[in-house]
Amino acid sequence: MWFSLVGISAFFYLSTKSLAGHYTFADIGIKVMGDFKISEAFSYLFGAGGVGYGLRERKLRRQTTERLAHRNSTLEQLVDPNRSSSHLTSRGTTNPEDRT
Amino acid sequence: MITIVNASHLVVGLFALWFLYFFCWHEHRIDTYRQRLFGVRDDLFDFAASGGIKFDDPAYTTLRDLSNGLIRFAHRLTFTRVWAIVLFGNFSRSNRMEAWMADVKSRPEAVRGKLLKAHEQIAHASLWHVVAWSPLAWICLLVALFVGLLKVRVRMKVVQGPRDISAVLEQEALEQSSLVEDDSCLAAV
Repeated sequence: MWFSLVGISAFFYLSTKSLAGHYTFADIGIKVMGDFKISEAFSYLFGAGGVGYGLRERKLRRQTTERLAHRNSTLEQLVDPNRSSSHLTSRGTTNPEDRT
Repeated sequence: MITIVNASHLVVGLFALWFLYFFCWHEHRIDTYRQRLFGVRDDLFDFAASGGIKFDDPAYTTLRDLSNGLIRFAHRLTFTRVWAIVLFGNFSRSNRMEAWMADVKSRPEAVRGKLLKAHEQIAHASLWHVVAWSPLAWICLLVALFVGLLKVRVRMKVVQGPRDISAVLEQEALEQSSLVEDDSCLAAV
């Protein structure tokens, strides 16, 4: 995971290295924004919107899990008092202690 | 200057893909796997609640412990980790699941069928989770296919088949869940 992030950063560094001393980051930023086409803007918006929608849906699902899980486990414990657990959090995510 | 503009777009795209893979897709895979295992676990619970098997029966508790262990440590089940366990881990042939299997085979037809089906569903979900969504696994499978097509004999101590991968995962999950039995501040999901 982190290797790939370093790789992308290294790629960006190497591609901008040759311009050192010729242009400032502001020059590059203005050029990038100036060249921005409307079709590219829609592509970025579509991608960011899709990711945002997915993240919101995930959040909603975890809230629903949190709302229903406790009731479910309580009812199951009435039937099986020794009911064992998966030790996930109430939102159904990985236990922080198990991440190590 | 045109080069740097193109490079900027490429880097933004690469960062976006990086985020999408590691923070969205990876988490989604884990949640999907856990969802399948929760489904199997719930079916087993319903079977026991309907009187099909006792809640304290070792055949039931072992399978429940197995599904709990795999749900709990799903985030650790990656292709590279499983590959490392299979190659370098202490893979004992006489594990708890073999004892479970021998026990289940002596059960009445209805109970045996239900438990074996649940076990098969767990094994299938685990295999799918580890192999089907890992780009590294795809590359390894392609290489294996290529080697197989060329009929090159590779002398290597590897697993005999998908069944062994499931067996390794099951043994690991049972060991991990029995090692950590700490309830601290977590809800019983």
